[in-house]
Amino acid sequence: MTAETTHDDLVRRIKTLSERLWEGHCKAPDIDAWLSNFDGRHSTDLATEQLHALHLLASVSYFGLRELRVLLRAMFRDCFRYPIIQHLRADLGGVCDTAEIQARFASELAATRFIGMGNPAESGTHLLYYFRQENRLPRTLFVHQHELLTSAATDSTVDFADANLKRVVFIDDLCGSGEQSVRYSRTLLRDLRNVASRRSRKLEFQYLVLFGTTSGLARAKSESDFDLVDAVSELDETYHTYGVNSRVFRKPPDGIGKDVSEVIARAYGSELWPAWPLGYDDGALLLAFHHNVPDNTLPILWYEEGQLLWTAAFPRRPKIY
Amino acid sequence: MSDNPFEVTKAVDFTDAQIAATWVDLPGGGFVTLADPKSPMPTFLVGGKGGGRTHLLRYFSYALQRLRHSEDLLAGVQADGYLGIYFRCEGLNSSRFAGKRQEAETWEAVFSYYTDIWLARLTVDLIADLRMTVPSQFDRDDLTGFAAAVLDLFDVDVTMSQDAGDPAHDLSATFERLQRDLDLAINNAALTHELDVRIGASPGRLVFGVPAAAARHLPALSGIVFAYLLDEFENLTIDQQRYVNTLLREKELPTTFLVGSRLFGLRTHATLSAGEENRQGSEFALVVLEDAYRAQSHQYGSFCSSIVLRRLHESGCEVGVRMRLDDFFEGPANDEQSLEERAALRVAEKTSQDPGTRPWLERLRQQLQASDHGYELSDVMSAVTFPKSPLHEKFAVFLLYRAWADGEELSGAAASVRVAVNGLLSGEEKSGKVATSYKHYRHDLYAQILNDLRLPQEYFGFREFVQMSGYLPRNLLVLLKQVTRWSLFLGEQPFRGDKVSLRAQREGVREASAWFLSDAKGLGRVGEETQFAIRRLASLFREMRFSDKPVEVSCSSFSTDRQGLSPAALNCLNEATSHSLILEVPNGRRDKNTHLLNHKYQLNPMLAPLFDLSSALRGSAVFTTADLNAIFDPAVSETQYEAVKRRILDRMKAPFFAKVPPQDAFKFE
Repeated sequence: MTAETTHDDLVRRIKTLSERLWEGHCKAPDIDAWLSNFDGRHSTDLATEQLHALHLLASVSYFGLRELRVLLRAMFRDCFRYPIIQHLRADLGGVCDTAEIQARFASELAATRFIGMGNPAESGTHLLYYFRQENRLPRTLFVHQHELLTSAATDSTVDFADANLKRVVFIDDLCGSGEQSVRYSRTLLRDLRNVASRRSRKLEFQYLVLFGTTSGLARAKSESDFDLVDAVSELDETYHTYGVNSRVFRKPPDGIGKDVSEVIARAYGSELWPAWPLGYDDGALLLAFHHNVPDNTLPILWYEEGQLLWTAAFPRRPKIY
Repeated sequence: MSDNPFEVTKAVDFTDAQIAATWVDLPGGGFVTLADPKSPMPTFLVGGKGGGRTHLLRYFSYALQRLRHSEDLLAGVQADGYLGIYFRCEGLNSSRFAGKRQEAETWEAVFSYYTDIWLARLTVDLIADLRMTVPSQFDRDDLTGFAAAVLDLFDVDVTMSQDAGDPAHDLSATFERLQRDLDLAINNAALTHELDVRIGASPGRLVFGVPAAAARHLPALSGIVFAYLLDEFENLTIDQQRYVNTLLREKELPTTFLVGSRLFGLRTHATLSAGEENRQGSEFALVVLEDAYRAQSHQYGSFCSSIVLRRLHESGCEVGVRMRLDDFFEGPANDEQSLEERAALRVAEKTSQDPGTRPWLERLRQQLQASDHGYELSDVMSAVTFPKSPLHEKFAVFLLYRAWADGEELSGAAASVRVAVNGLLSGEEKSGKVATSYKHYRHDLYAQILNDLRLPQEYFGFREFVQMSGYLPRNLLVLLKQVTRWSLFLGEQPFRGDKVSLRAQREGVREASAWFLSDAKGLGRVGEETQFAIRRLASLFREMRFSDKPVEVSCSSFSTDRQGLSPAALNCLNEATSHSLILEVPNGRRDKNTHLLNHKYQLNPMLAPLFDLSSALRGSAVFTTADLNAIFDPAVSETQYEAVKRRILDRMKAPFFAKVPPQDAFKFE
């Protein structure tokens, strides 16, 4: 197979993805504009760079709004509802009284508050709107962080605004490195736990994500202070583009190699984001969502900021919400 | 509205309004010349997927009559002379009428009664709707008489519903109730293992009796033909088809039938009438839509143009009646109009690094060196080299291969070739044998040049798409759908200012071709085996086209008398034909030696882009029985097939060692 044939096959694949899954992103002119970033300066020639870049693009996993809505339903059902019902049934001695279980679950739900991870401009908060819609939840279950407490966490009279509150669920799209969960444990979560302790309240804090890397989830579980960390879909090591068992290079087309690809991605990535040329915490993911692109994804795919002339294939929009 | 006017390609996916909006009649008398809903002769309308049967039957249906004659429905129906009662056999859910611990005879009786009830209900519903639309034309007493006459058709007492207070609507509600009760009994038989059904009317009595009662009691419908339009007949089992065939045989005026089916869907013409078989021309007429289109191929082209223009118009594109559809598609640039110019440009582009290198010359050189002709190398190579016109050069090489295969002395033959090609180039040779040969082969030689240069084959222009559609209009729509999708992907604005680029056309036809191969696949093992055989056949045609000495022009068809074919090969060939992977050319082809009329089969031109073949119907190979068995019989191993293929191709490849076996010749016409 010639390089031209591989190139054409990859473009055909991207067209199919664009039409069927990518919500129309990356039409041919967009691909051409993105490929023009690669001018051959980091490998033997321009064609090699562009072919390797095209292979990366054709390997992107994109989750459109339709898929995200389904995943948010799965998150509520599998990570929240089912575990609580299991627990309730166990408490009731394994009964199958659906009316009783349903009533108790309603009570547990009413004693829960869902919060978006990160500030209101970030994706966790953005997802709450769809999470509420898809799971037909009342608006009262969703609060801002500052609405959890009656006053400042340092205030001696502070208490939780809802006297019946039993659990707080933090929601996000991706747990990449686990860093955010650890950071939260040292700030907001620590404050909330202090208040709960002072008021002798027994509260549960959960961290639920749509996707979590195996390493990120492991870190969140071991280093953060959440009682429960769970993901709808776990991204194992094969999702690391340049990992030993990378699925992107399990059976690459003729003329495509992992080592060459990494050299190219790392070289251009260094120009775009010197600290993390393969994405935050060396994530090296090829993941994009309807609402944004995680920074753990290769920067060569999403970078379109600053003074550098670089056209993104999937532009990352950090401040649009 | 989608940006792609061709996104919907199946009539079942259209609303009634869309069927009406996209309707195009056949030029030269219209579709009624093929299938007339007023004709007393029941007609089977058969063909491959996408021939337009559903569109046509739905167009004849009452729902569409209603849309067409919205101003004065009754006058419109009377002018049409028929009422179209459309019915999809799929809706019967025919698999329900089997098993569940019931005898086959029981199910036959229940199926007949259910079908009768359903057809009668559709007819009564239609009359009730007419009554509601034009109440002044339907006297209440007449309707009461009609309802009573319909109830009289039953052998049991049927209580008429009295909910609506109108005889037509009450009758409609009565049939709805009867059908619902039947559904309940049939669907629950799986659970109860009992079939609590009482057959309330003799077979066929309701089907013919309701229209007859309408004609007798309702003056507004006097003289109107009630046309049952049965679509997707292939969804019925052989026993169920036998019942419908019986209805066709025992048809009574003012009732008639138009039945749509896939080619392979006519499982039987047997009836329940003392085992009699219906015969074509006697009890029914048979129209194969593709054959009808092919018989008027010039009109098929304008029919296709009208379909496409109508689609474009409906999607908001600015199209005039006299618009040339070819104008929407990019063609070769002005300086590439002729094949010779295009060949020269392609060669110049691809060999710019090394202008003297042309793959066909290099191959010839190696072949001469590898054979006993090395001593003639220099003379031969200089004689066939025409650097200014690569297409003529390719022709010169082709003529040399011919001479080589004929055992001629190569230096002398090469000199003659040079004289002949020079004559072509100078214009002195215009109508002789060489000029005719060049005219015939130039397209294949151009295709060979593209192949040698590793360039994709070129498929472009509306006319080529029509040719590729294989007389199935849906294929054309699928082609245009994929081409338009590619055009949109490439950032163009097809049909809205931009011409559809050559790249979009090339990629689109390729995708449509791949879709066709998988879509036309039959079910089960035979479907797999047929697909495999088609790949063998198409690949063989491809290798023949790109061989040194193709003996036929753009070969994508073959003829055979079918004698001696193994049952498995015949089965596979028939399966391929019934699924339109192979088209049988009407009237066949006469054998040059025996003068017997053989069957002629063409690989569906939709497959041409996938195998780099020509979409035109030109050369035809005569395969021997052994060749055809090797291609079509799934029991023939890959090794055996390869041996047969090698034997066929060795005669087309230098140094032409293969000899033609006298009794088992691979003959070409």
